[in-house]
Amino acid sequence: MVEIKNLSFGYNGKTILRNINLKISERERVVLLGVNGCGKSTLLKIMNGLIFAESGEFFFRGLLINSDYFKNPENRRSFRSSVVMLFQSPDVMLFNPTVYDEVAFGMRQMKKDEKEIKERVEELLNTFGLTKYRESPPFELSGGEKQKLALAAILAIRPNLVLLDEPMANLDPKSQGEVIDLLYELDITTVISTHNLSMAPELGERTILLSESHEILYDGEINSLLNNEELLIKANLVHRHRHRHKEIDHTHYHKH
Amino acid sequence: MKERIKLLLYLSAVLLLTIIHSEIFYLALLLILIISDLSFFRRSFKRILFSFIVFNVVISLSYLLFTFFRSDIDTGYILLINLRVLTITCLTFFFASHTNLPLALSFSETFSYLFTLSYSQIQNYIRTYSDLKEAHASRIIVREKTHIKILIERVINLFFTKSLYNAKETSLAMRSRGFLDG
Repeated sequence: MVEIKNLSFGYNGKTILRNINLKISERERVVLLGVNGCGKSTLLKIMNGLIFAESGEFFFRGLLINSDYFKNPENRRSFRSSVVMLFQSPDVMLFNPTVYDEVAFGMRQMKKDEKEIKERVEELLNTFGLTKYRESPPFELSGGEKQKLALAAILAIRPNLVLLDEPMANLDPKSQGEVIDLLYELDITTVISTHNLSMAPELGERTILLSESHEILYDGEINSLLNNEELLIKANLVHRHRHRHKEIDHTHYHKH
Repeated sequence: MKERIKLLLYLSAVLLLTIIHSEIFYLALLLILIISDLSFFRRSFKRILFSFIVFNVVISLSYLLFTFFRSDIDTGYILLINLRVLTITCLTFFFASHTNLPLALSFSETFSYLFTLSYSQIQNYIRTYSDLKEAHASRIIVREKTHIKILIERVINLFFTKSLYNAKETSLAMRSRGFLDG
């Protein structure tokens, strides 16, 4: 479904991604791991066709996605109704007058039947526990509710590839559990970025680990990575700090 | 100290530029500035031009309109003020890129805090605007004229509420750290 070949990206003279190569199959659930600033968000934005690589190529279902591709309105329509992205800050994604309109926004662009739109919106509002805010302006919701609304809004169009940038960042533990359950039930391809090691196994089976030097350090099964302390130290995903067990005061690596 | 001297030289130069009335002088200074860091001016060309045009089109057009009705258009004067503004704009960009501004303003705590707060707010807004544009592009399946209107409304709304929220949070944070308590 997704293929990235020898992709590099820089901004203002700084390297953000270096020689990235990966393939993602249909219905795979991939976790993109790495510390802040390693290039996770940039890689997701490239896969969402928002920015384009300086060198290398990104293919979606065999089609080369670059700025020329989006010059054709039909290509844009096809890509944007297949690939969606949840941004780190839900505030930037919500621009409709009511919660209902926010979820309906994508389907209205696709000229879906009003009855179908209503059914889908009601279903999603119910799933995400947002029905009571149906007529409220999105900006009045709490951070966690905005996050759920943004997720409902992008899922409404039944996409094939969902890119989620730190989706748990604004959620309380209860909401995190709900979203994990919901993502688990989705039978679609997901790429989810996080720097939270304890959360990673809940979000997918395969993980791609980006290093601080913006390269892929590991691509494979998630539990093997979690048992590879050397690699986790190299990626700066584990850290040492002092703590106590009753009378014993000692220091060792932690995954939290 | 070096940064403060740069600031003093910059302010003196701006003052000098406002009292000199010679096109040749401005042209010569512009040339010296550009030659002194050609790669910087090549990189910053678009930004400098944009800043210059935004300000000068309004001033020049107002002047032209005003003098047109009085039938005494002075094209030499228009050239002079445009050259003056272009020189000051280039000098300002040059100064800002070659000076550590927080250090230059460190002679005054108030200026220093004000600069740091403003700068961090500007960076914050630039990032938010960029995210907003990308999120909007990501959700637009079929481009329509109304979508531009939606984006503009959202930018205004978000920036207004964000400004209010940030101002409250910043003042609380400053109070928490001992400022604003008289």
